[in-house]
Order: sequence, then structure tokens, then C-alpha cells
Amino acid sequence: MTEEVRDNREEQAREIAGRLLTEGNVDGVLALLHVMDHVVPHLFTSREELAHLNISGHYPVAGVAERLLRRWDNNGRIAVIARGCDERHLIELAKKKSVNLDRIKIVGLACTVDEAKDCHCVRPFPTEVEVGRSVGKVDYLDHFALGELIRMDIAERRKFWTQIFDRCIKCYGCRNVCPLCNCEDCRLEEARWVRVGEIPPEYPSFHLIRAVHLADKCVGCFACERACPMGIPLGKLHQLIRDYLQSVYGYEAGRDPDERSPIQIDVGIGPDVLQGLRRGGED
Amino acid sequence: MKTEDETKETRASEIETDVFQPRVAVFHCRWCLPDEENVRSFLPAEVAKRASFMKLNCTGRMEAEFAVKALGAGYDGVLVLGCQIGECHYRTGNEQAWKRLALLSNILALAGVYPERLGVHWADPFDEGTTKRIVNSYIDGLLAIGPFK
Repeated sequence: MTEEVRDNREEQAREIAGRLLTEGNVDGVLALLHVMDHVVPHLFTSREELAHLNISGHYPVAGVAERLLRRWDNNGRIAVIARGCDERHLIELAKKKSVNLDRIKIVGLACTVDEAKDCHCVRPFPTEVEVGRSVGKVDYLDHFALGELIRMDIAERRKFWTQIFDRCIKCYGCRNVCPLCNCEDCRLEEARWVRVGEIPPEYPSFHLIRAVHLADKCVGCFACERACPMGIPLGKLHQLIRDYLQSVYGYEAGRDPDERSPIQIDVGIGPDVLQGLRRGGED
Repeated sequence: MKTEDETKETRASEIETDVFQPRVAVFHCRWCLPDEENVRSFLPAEVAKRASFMKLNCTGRMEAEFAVKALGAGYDGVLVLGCQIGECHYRTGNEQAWKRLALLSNILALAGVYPERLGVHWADPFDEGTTKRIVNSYIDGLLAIGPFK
């Protein structure tokens, strides 16, 4: 990707944000602000600020949008410059009734191929692209050596994951960065569920409690993996779980606010649903 | 001075204590299997001694986290016993549990835990022979894969 294209996307984003602010349909535009060589999420409310709008940074802004709208009165309305993952986050939050999508105008931002590779993203584009050009669906198996994990047998995976999970310093970065990890009481902090104040966390409780809790909500943004200071490939684990739900139920989180998770609703129980479950020694 | 037979016996019991006996967390439904002693009788005596029994109002209450926590807390296997599909007191509780446990089984396999550690059986309360046979073959599976920790 060339600098020229990036500038072009940024210009496009500024132009759309400027127009939205002038028209006055929204109270602000949530996007990333370039400040002192960093990017931070920021609610742009005036055209002057837009010169520092940044679109190349990675930060899941959906959580910020949720908290922002929750604190405001019910009339506030914002626009969000959202990548594919940000949009899927917002849709999942809407399913949990954490945000009201009527109060959000999504400005779709398409990621570049490099960005998609960087995030291991399968679907680096929102439903409606307004900024940039969609690079289409990515087959991650070609790119990201997930095949290696699939080819391992159970004992090898055990060795792989125990070594990796042992690095965990329990910083809760994976949980904090995830817009969908927004439970008020978190089981990962409760002594009833995990050993508190001890590192490394016990295998497999700590990481698998989070994995099962997010299994049908994760939209595959890889923010947890990027946030992890110890390089634990949590995103890859979640990607494989997403694959399971896709193959068994044809379900993908974050696609449609009206689509409910098959794990949470009554979908009947066809034989294909049972795939992967070993029933107690049945012959 | 011990007789030869006595020495043999001591050895036999020593060997037996060395044999791995799995610790199992058993979650059972209160509608089809309300009696804990009854559930206990399905397990081999040695395993039943170390097992923990949790009575659920319905297997629909069975969260995947329960099983994960049990494995983290030192159990070698998690066994879920509930009503047969179609017989749930709350109509579909066991189906909901099944979807969740199938998902969990997949996650366990991905994370390097033998999915055989998770046993699920929908028991017919009038056919204890079958339940016992299936539970025992589940335990055999645990014996074959060995301790978790």
C-alpha cells in the first residue's frame, strides 16, 4: 500500500466527517485522533479538529462508543468511523442491548491488504464501504499458519498451549481491550472461578472461561492478541472457535443485529449439530 | 514373619493404590436422576469414592464454565447426566446444554484437552443397566488417557 492511497483514505474520512458535522445530524464523529505520535479515540465535534483525524491506527472504538452513549442522554447521536471489526462489534453490542444502533451512524472504513494481514482478519471490510476500497474476503489459512495448530494432535496442542499460557501475567489486557467483554462482574476476577492473585493462571480455567464466554460473540478482530504483552495467540484460538460455529451452524457473530446466536436460542437439534461431541463412551 | 500369601496380598494392595483412579465431577439432573446414591452406583466403586456430585435443576443449567473450572480444579473428567432428548422437564434444557457442551468439547480439543474427558449421557431412568454400561465405558476412556494434571 502506498502513502498516496493512505492519504486518500484519510482525506475521504475527513471530508465525510466534516459533512456530517456541518449537516448537524450527529453530535460528534468518533474516530482516532493523532496526538504526539500516538492515536487515541476521540469524539470530533468541530471541523477544525479534523486535521488530526487518523485512520491508520488500530483501536477497537466500539467500546468507547458504547460508554459514550451510555453516559449521554438518550438524544445524543454519533457517527463512528468503523472498520469491519468495529461495525461487527457494534452489531454484537446491539444484540446484547448495550448500544442502540439508531443512535449511531456507521461510516464504513475498508482496511488495506497489509492491515488485514496484520490483524489476521478474515473479513477486513464493513457492510457498506464509504472510505477506501474493500479488499474482499481473506482466506486466513493461507496466511496465518493456523493449519499448524489444526494438524497437531491433542497431546501436542496441550504442550503448545501450556507453554504459551504459562507466559500469562494476568494483566487482563485481552479482556479490557475487547469491546464485547463488557460484563460488569467478570468471572476472571472472582475467587470462585479462578485463583486470584497468582500467576501464571491455572490451566485451562483462566483462558478457557474467557474462550467459552466469548465463543459465540467474538467477531475475530484480534484486538486481544495485539493487546497481549506476552504474545499469546488468543485471536487464533478464537478464530478456530468461530470456524466451528460457522461450519456447524453457519453462524458468524456480528453479521446481522437480528440474527441470534444458535447457542442461545432454540434451534432444534439436528445430527449435524452434534458433530464434535463425544458422548460418554457410547458405542 | 509374614506368610507368602500375606506378602502377596500386601503387594497387591500396594499396586492397586498406584493405579490411576480418575477424579470425576458428576453433574446430574434432578428430574431423571434425583438420587445421588443412585448416580454413585453407576460408577466403579473406587471412582465413586473420589467423585463429586452436583445436582442440577436441569442440565440446561450446566454452563461450559462449570466443566472448565472442574478441570482447572483438579478433576480428570466431567460427566453430565440428564434426561433423554424430548423428555426434559423444561422441554429443551438438555438440548441447550448439548449445544453448549458440543461447543465446549470442540474448544477443549483446540486447547489441548482430550474431549473424551467430557462425558454426556442422556439417561433413561428405567434403564439403569444401559446408563451404568455407558458411564463405565466413559470411565474406561478416562483411564486410557490418564490423569489431567
